[in-house]
Amino acid sequence: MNKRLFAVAIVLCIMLPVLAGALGNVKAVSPAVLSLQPVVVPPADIGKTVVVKLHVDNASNLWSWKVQMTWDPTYLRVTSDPVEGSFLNSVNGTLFLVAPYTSTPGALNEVSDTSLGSIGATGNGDLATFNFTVLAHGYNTTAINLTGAAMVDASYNPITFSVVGANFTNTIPGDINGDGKVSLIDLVFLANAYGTTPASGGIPGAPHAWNPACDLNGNGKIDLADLVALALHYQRHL
Amino acid sequence: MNKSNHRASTITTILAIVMIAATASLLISRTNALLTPNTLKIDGSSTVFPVSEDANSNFSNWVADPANGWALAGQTVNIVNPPPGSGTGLNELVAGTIDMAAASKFPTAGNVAALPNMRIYPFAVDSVAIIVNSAGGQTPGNLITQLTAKNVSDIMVGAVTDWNAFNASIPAGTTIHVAVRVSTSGTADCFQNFFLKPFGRTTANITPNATVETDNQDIMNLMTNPSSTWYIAYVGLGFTDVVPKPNVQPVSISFNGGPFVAPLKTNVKNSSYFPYRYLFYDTAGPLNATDTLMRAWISYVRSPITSAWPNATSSTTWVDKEGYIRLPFADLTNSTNVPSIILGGGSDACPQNQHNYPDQVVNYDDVLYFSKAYVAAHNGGVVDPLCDFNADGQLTSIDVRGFAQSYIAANTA
Repeated sequence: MNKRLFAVAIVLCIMLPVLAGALGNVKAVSPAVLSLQPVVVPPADIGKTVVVKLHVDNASNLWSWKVQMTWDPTYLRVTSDPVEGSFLNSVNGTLFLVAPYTSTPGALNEVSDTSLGSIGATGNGDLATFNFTVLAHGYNTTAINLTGAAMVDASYNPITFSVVGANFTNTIPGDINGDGKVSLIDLVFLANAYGTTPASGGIPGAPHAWNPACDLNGNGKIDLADLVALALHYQRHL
Repeated sequence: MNKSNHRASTITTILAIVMIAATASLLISRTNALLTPNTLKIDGSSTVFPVSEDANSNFSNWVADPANGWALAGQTVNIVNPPPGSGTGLNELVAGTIDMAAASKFPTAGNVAALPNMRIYPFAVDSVAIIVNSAGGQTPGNLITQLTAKNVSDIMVGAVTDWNAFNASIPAGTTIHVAVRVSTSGTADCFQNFFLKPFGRTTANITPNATVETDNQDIMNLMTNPSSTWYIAYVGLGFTDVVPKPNVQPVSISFNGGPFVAPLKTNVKNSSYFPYRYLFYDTAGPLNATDTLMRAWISYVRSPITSAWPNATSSTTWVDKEGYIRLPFADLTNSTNVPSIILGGGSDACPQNQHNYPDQVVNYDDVLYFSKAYVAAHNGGVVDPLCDFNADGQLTSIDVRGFAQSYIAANTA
């Protein structure tokens, strides 16, 4: 009897670290995130198109989604139909629907995509692409809001997720300090940030510090392309 | 009580219990199996009747033709004529003497209690028009063309009996003659909800002097008769809106002190003319795979007549043809509860688990409903007739396109 107990104890001693290790490897499931990307939309000339993508991270068995979007119609207008992303329709055929939007400036009342199969999509990917035309310039940024969003899994259950909207930099390209004109001050800001990336850190505006406002083409680095963009708009003003 | 009497009493009690249980079981487990094989018997609303009758003119050929997806040879629909009204049809469905009820109102709470699995399949919206006979003594100067909803209510309950009260050029003492429908009709129900209940009245308060007609056609027969001078009645909108009827003047109505609005489909659609009601086909239970004739019928009545659909930019349905308001094909489900006013203030009920009635809004809920139905059908489930827009017994890319077109059209201002 004692021998049996002893044997059980030995087995438990061997198994415990294994079980603990296995438990330790169980990762918490990251919640899904529905976002507009890029989060900071770089400035563009009036009449030019800026592109915003609806993106999902950590989706699990996503079968259907819908969003509404609002923004300040002073600065942006949707001028072409949103385009379906590849994430959902890579699994099944889909029903991608856009409620008519031309009569509602500053809003997309309902954009949705629903699988026509019984399997959902899992992982990260683009759900849709929105093309905005720049209508006017301002002094700062204007929000592109995601509202009324919903996601449903292949069992028709709602998916819990968080939402991240975007901000469009509505200034004249090169107007880094947002004073309505592209001047020497902006050139100084760009010079201070020249050669940096987000990894550079620091306080925006300080020498050799990353300053996202100087990333005029939104490529994640301050380089010659940004300098050229500023130069092309130099001395322009509102 | 001696021993044999006691035994007889016990047997009687047991038999009674067994019979009650069997009856209850019959009610609860009632299926949609046709009373007569290959024949779908429909009875009920006289408002729905013209649509049913018209659609039935070619239905048997349609379902018999394999090219249309069904290949149901030798199947027919028997539409009872004359139609007795929605209430009677619903009671017949509960009693099991018909296969499908045509109704222009929601079932009563009693109907739903007796048939808890009842399903309602909406296919159109209608309204109620107030009409007067324009023959005889009426001239352009004294023709009644406008009344408030309160005026109509007062007339129908006999509180006002002289046309002179509404138009001084009509000689005093010109008696108002009232014609109404039987109180169980869906049209009477809609009239009650919008013209009587707002003023604390019901159909029970209708003047005893009223002429009571069984169906809408009887009302129209009366009202188009040149000798029916100074009559007023209510009738399903579809009976007045398609073609002007001789000797009949539709009356514009002011609701809640608002402007006078003509009883026209366009005004019902834009909600300026308040009264509305849904038109349904009701079944005893959910439609199963074996209920092919019922599914074919429901989708066929909702379907466009033109074979060019959905390539055609517009389409006509049996509903359009008969003067009723077609629901958007994509309006499949409700986002909100049924407005209490069209449920008759509590006397009527929406069957349990019944979500597929329309709300005249086409949105994401409808997208989910359609997509679920599509997936279910492709996984071996029953094809939902509400989603089978071209009535071919399948959910295909044609239906997806039809849904998308209808969704966009419904959301276009």
